[in-house]
Amino acid sequence: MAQFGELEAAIMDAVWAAGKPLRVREVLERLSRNPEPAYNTVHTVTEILHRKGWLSKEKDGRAFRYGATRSREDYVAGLMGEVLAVAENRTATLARFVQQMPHGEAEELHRLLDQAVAREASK
Amino acid sequence: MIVAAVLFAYAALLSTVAPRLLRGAHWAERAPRLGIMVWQVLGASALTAAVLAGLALSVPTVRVSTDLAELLQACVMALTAQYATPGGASAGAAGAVLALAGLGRVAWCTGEALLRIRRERRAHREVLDMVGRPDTTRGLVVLDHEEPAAYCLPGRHRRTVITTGALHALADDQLVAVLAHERAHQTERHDAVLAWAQALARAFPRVPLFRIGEAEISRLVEMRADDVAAARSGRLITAAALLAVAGGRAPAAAISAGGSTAARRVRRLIEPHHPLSRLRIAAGSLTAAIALAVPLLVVGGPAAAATQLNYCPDGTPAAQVTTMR
Repeated sequence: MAQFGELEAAIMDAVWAAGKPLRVREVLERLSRNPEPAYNTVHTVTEILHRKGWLSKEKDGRAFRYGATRSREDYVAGLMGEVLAVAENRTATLARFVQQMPHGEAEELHRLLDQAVAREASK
Repeated sequence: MIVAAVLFAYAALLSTVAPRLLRGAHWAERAPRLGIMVWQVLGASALTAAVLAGLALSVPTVRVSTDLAELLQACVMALTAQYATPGGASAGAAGAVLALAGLGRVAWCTGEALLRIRRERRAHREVLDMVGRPDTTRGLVVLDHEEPAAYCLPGRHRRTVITTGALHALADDQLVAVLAHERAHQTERHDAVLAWAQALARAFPRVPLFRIGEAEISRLVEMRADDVAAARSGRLITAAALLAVAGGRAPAAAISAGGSTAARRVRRLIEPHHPLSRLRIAAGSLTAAIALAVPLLVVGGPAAAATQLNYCPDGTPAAQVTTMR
């Protein structure tokens, strides 16, 4: 399954960019990949994405249309929620560069930093 | 019995008094790597002492011999002698239960923590690989989000992630500092250090040593990574990078009275830097080594002395084996 990772991401990109449910043929047309993947491969991976819950599937005539169940922004917001939650509950799952600080504290540190930079420059 | 009491006292002392003395120590901020090591050693030493104390209660010291059959017989004799008395038997049982329960709890909590961390990282990575944009030249994954943030997802399939908000807020040389910081976490396996500290804190939440140790280790690990970034990019640039990503948007109520860890890290980089001298680092390492060795010496001393003694009473089979030769 790992080798499909990039194709999965590319298919999701195509569906998100289209902003509407697509047929497999339309997905294939929107994939700008070299070499172009086979129709069957794209169909298989689209089905995998449907099974994983990334794509919804609805009947349209004799074919199916696949649409994103959630927007990309939703997923990004979910990830960011996990990252920002690290503050209260250390889980060692991920390491954040720095927590947020309150406005007053940041302002004072900016002033201290400016002074230190000026001192360094005048040396 | 005395051995067990000494070990228990040592474990109790390490678990309660040591963390209060060490918490927020200034020298640890000047040498964060030594600080991390000292906290780890104290934890390991307290744990070893408690487990050995339990074992010392349940297993009597036996005369060590070069002859295996004789040694086994001596062990059996000493054990039957101890467990023949009701007090000896109950102390032995309590000791064994204590040692096994302690070890079992640590093993359980560590396993549980590792599995949970692996599961959470995997779930996060699966979504990340779908919605992040890989920046292969810098070895990054970029997330389209205006909130400045940077983090790394450690492990075998590690990812360093940065938001577009952070990319806008950071100058080029500051971004280099951020990446050096994240790389330091990865090369020094800080994720494993944190997972272990967290497992101990969960296994024994009431023991101050593990509770305070976890908080201190997670603070010192960040300072250590800051130092690596500062060595590459300069202390003031690293401080500016921290400030750029930390911004000033957190609600003030969320921060403890002493100021946030983020602010402490920035101050530490701005203030004149006085790393701990090599002599003091050596002295600190030696103290840590002694703390680690004490429980082993307490057990090993009497055991070594026991090689000179015959613990089995005369006329017992073990003694007869010896006299028959």
